Amino acid sequence: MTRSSSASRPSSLPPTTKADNITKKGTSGKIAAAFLAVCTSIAILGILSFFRTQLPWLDIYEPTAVYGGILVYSYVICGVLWAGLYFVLRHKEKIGNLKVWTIIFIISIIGSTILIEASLEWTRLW
Amino acid sequence: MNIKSKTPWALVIGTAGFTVAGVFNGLQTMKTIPATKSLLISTITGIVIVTIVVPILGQLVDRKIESIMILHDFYIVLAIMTGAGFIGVISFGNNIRNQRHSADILKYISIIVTIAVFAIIITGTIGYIEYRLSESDSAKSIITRTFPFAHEVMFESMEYAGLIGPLWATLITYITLHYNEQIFTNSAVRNSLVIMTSLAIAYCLIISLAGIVPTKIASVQG
Repeated sequence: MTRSSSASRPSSLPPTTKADNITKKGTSGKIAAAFLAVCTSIAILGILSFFRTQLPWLDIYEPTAVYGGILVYSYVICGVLWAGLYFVLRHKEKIGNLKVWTIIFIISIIGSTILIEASLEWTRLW
Repeated sequence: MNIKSKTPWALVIGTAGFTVAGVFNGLQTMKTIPATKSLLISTITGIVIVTIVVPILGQLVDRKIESIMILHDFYIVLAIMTGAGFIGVISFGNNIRNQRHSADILKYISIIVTIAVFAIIITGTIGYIEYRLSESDSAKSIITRTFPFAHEVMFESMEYAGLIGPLWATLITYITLHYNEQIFTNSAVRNSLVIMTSLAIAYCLIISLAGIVPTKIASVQG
């Protein structure tokens, strides 16, 4: 047996606002595109950092060595991805919700940081 | 021209810059410019003056790379402090009458943080080029000889993990610009921004600490 939302809502609560409706609908395609592009770029940054000694093409500018390559490639990928996804998803009204996107973002940060740290010589400590 | 004769000129340029900016801001404020814009003008004027004056001073006293690293530290402090201000405005700026005003401040703060974070990467890269010179008296060579962990783990952590910062700041700024006043009425957006910004500040502090340790090794300091 189903009940309407108005029936289940206590009368003492304030009426729903436009913003509340947005939360229920989920995030727009534009925000999803931003999260997708940034999370993917952060993941790529971590992967490139992890494999940097095996990827000679990262050495695009000798004074900065592979650091310069990781910087340029990850930021260019982010820019291109963001622009592409923006045009593809900009008319979508609902793709996930902000809570899920925030969790995905935090996971990408943690994953990338672990990859970066795993590539360093921690054995120097002992 | 020796260093002693250059220093007074540097001081004159710096003092003149700050005086002009102070007079300009004073005049703008007297013209009843809204407090938000006045704050924005003051902050940006200060940042621009520091960004211009510090390298000039460094050039005059023949301490170019040191002046760039001072700017690097300045941008780190700026990013952390404005990030903390961002959380403060989100948390306490949700008065119905001031929502538009607070949303404007959030937009300005987020843009300033993003510019500062990109500036951290640019100045950091300039410092990194100098740091990793293959000469035997370069900072990297000295650290690798005396305390390898400081380079292999701490400095490298700062360099690579620090690259995440601009992407992070840009995303926060985009969300802020996209949702605008809804930040104060939509709890999901507000919570998301507070979590992302708090984590960014914590991450920045840890990375900064990892970067500070190698530069504090006595033998590296000139």
